[in-house]
Amino acid sequence: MKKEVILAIAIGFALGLVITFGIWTANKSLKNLPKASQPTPTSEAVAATPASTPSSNQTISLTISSPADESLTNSNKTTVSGTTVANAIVVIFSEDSQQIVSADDKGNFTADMGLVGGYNTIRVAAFDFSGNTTEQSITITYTTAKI
Amino acid sequence: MKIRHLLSFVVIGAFIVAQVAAQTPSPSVTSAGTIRDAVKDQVAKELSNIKQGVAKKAYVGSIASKADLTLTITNLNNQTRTATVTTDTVIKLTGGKDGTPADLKVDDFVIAMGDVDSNGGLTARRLLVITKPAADTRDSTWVTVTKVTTTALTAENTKKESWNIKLSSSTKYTGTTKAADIKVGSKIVAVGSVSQTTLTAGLIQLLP
Repeated sequence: MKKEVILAIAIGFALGLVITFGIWTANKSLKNLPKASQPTPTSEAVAATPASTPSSNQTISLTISSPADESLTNSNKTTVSGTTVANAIVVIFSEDSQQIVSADDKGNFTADMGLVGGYNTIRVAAFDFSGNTTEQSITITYTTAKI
Repeated sequence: MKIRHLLSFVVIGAFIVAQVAAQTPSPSVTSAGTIRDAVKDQVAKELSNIKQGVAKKAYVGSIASKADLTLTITNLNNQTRTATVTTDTVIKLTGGKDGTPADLKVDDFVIAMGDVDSNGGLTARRLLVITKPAADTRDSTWVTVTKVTTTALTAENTKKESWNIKLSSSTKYTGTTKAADIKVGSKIVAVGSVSQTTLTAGLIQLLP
């Protein structure tokens, strides 16, 4: 009887090991499957990047990320931030002042600007070192009235 | 009887080992994490949409058309916006006089402030009729200096157009730049008020 029990446990353990190996192999195979939602980078994607510095009179990218266009604020100042080409010179006009700031090596820029009561046009112009330029503008309204 | 026992032990043993193996982390755990992150992202997106859906905004521009209580406004970027006035809308006419929706006319320059729905329609809580602003004469230009005097720079932009940059005691130079640093051949960005091809400089940035 004891021999039979030991034999049964041994066979059961072996069978369990076989099942475990099966599960492990299945897991490994699943892990190595390519993810459908993440496209593999191709040489075409790389080729889409401009290979050289833009020549004169080309438009450069510029996005004003803050403040939002047509936004409403009860503060008399705002932080203008956005993205353009790396190291660009960025000129920011508010209603009653202007500032020149430099974009960082990732193209990010930021500047604190004062606001006048009522609507304010924030105009941003960016220049790269070749003289290429682009301009964007937004409006932000400053009021202390309860809206 | 013995065979029955033997089979029972084999099955129980296999079951135990399989249960232990099942505790091993598998891709399903990773998938659960991915799903959790996706749900988190979706919730954040929806919250942002809801927030945006009830955002307070201000439309600034001229009334292009008026139909009952609905105004079509052309904003400063020439985009069309819709604002609805209600009997609760506070309307201020030029000079601060209180007004009614009937006082609003096509071509009036207005600031309509209120809640914007998800379609961009604004329900005005406050509407101001103001004087149409004059065009901003300030501008900025990137130029290469071709001539330097104490009161002005002659410069050329990338289109080979000539600019006269007027300098004064109120002209500021960014960073550590001084007026004397600007020489023929220097590349600068000049900011100031513009009249034709003359720019009265308020700010100058010398480019490296």
